[in-house]
Amino acid sequence: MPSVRAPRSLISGLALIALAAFALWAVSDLSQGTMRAMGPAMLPRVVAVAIGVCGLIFVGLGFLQKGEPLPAWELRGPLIVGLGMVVFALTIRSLGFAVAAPLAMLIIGRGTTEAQPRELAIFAAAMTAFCLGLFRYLLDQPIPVLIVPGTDIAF
Amino acid sequence: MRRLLAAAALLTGFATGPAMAQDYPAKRVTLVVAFAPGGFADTFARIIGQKLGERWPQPVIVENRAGAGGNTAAKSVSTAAPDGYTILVTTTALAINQSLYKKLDYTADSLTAIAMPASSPESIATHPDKFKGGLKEFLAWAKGREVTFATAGVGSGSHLAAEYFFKVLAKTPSAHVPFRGGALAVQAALGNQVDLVSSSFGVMPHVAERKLNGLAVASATRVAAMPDVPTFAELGFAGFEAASWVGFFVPARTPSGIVTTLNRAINDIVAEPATEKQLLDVGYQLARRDAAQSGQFLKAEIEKWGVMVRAIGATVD
Amino acid sequence: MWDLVANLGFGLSVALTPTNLALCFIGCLLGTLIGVLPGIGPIATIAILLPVTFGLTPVSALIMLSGIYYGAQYGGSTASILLQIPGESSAVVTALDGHQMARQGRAGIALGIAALGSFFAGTVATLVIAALGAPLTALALVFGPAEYFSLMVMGLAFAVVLARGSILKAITMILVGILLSTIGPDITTGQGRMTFGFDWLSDGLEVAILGMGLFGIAEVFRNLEHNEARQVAHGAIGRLLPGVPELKQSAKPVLRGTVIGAMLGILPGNGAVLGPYASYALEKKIADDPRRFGHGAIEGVAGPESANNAGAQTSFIPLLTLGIPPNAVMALMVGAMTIHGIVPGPQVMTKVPDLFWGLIASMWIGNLMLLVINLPLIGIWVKLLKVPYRLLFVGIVIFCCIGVYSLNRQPVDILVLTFLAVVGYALSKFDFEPAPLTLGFVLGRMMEENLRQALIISRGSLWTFVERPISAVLLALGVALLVVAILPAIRRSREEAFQE
Repeated sequence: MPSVRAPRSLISGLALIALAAFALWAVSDLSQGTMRAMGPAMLPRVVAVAIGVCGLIFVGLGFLQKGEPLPAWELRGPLIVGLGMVVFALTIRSLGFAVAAPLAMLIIGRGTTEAQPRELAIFAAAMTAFCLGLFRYLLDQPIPVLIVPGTDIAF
Repeated sequence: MRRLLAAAALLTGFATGPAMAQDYPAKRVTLVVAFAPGGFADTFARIIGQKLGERWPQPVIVENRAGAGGNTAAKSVSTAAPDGYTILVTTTALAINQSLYKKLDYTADSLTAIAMPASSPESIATHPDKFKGGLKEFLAWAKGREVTFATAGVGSGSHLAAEYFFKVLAKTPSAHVPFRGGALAVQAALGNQVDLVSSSFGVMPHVAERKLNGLAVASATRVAAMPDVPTFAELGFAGFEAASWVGFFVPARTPSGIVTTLNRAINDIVAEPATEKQLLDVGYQLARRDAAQSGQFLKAEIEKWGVMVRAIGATVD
Repeated sequence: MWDLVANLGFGLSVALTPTNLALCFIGCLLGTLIGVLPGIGPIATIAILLPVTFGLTPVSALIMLSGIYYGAQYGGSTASILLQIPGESSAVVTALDGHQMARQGRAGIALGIAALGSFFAGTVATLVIAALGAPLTALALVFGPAEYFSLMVMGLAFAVVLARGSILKAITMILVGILLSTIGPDITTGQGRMTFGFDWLSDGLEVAILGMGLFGIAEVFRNLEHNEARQVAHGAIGRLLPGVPELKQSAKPVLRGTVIGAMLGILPGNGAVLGPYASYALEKKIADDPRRFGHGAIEGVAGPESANNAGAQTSFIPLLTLGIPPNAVMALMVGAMTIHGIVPGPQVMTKVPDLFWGLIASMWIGNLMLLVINLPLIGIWVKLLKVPYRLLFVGIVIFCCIGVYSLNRQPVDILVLTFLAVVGYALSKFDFEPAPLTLGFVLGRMMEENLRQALIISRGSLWTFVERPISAVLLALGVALLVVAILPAIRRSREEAFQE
């Protein structure tokens, strides 16, 4: 059993092989076609196989070439920021921008350990007002401003 | 508090209430365009939207909701509140999709036609270096080869009409070359990359300038923008008519008073002399239909395109 | 020659009326503004403003709308350089070295050179349109699906050159980009591919979401790992404008970028998207020390920005001389012409010469205005970096969210953005670069469509790509580019293998 010398290559390779397999599965019910009349599955399939081959090479390199150890992950930031974005996505249409934006910003701002709650609250309020003025009124983007569920209020 | 909120809602003009024809529109009206900005439906919607906004005390906004060949917007409007504040602006695609798509999550019955005021007939043209002459000569020239024809895309009216013509009417082998949009199909013909282009108003300026050789147009009468091009009927293919139109629709069960109000408003705008001239210049044919006639027209279109779609065996899932 | 002067004089007489000057200015200003905001592109803005132009004459309307378009090209680089949030594919290239320059305290220089380069490119491109617009049209029509396919293949070869690190990784990323581009309706059958029945995937992914996720927010994730001190704003911001040495260093890249961008912009099949990538690859290839690229090389900003703006201007050629829009913005301009009762097509030049020449003249005036608008703005933009990062990143994320939402008004797009950001973060952890992926994505769809169209036209014969001279030349260039890029890498890895 050869030992893993470049874990980053190995993991990348495995991820690529998984992606390739997923793509092959996703287009499995589409027709391949001929050279004359290429079907919808032809190109995705060829590309997926090529990605799989690249993945195999990376797996091979993982055993052959010496590489760096697995990277260190710092998940706090991405998790909190991602959560804030998801909250924005879930509330923008149901509650409106005036609720979604400050709520999301208050969450996102906690993504750094240096967050200062009061400063963040002021920033979120100011940004919300600024963005509303800019996007909704100056650029006339159809963004819902405020929706109060259960009532007729919707701007 | 309630009164305060009600007053605020009234002031901003976004209060919802029962939809009555006499006080329609009481809040802003949204035109949902089924295609991206810049296309046939979008341009038309913006002209009408602007003029409606001038006539009414309420703003009219245009929202593009492109996707799935126009189905995304059609589905979304068909499930909207039937109060006349959400209006679908779409094209022939609505009629075609009823038979082209294997499964649709809405039906044309869930929509009521308001007005279908403008259309542009499909026509076919070749590059003069590839072929000069009329349709009869072209079909003779095409014997023994396979005609490559460029169109705005699979399932477009230009595609179905041309394929139906070659397969069923002319019985000439052909190969469809789909492009993303009519303009790129016209470009391919201008560059003499394909044998033929099938398109609606896109080819007209080029035919008028003799950069393309117009063979035939699929309308009852010749088109003002290219008067030299004969109709298919004149050339012995009687009854072969196909046009791409733009239409306005509201959810079914919208009060008929509102439908009538909208129908009149849109038709009146199209009939304004300046607007009318503009539309004719660009290559549209105009028709004033009341709401009932528009509904019948839609039914007839669904039927007509259904025949073509089934005849050539086109399908999308 | 005399004709050209007379025509331009006529054009200037149209463009220099107070109304048209004012509208040109408004357009440019608005364009700059929306260019800076990622996601809110010129398409949304022009579409919204179209009805406002009803009251204007067609010339005035088109002057203003065009101003928005090329104004957005100037503004587009700003967000990429300062915050690495590219809202479109051309800005991705600018982000590569531009943002590195900003991190080194050279944001002002990067913004300045982008503006100056764009102005030069815009001037040259305007002259090209005026002098050669009509004859170049004929050239553009020579490009059929086979030629476009070969052009795209050559473009993908650029992506390999573009890569900073391993060639194998770059190729992998290109392939992933192509795979992502195949999501959505198939061009010849209309079948949905890899859409899993989701409405929001039915038309594929948006490049703006890809750019903001893989670059913008992924960068935020990376930055959050470090302490405040190591983030964008170092406190010291450095000089605001490029000095003589920077100008000297940038002169030739600007010139080359202009030529590349102007040529690709003429192609009606949206060849302009390749411009910035081609320019970047060229500058990197001919540089004395290619290793500087990706670490704040000014040529990597000057060249692509010039190429981008030159292409933006010359893409008016197919619109004005053929009525064929090379991209979505130009499609909207066709709509604008139609609304104003002008039939887009070959007659525009002869039937409405005031529109044709007036618009061209206004482009040059607009470019001059943009320079005047943008140079003083640099001071303001750079001050943005003084905002503490603990707040700045919140602003970046929320702007991206709004931008993405305004694309289609679908909240699910924000979830896609979040997912792509995580992917981008993971890619950087494993030393994969997102730039080749983006190029693969941008070119992938066009490449496939043109390949299939070419094969239908050639009746299934692959020879068509070699038999057609232009296509053959482009393919040969692509292969040569690949060989030049790959050979040293192979040699290096073999040496490494021997050393072990």
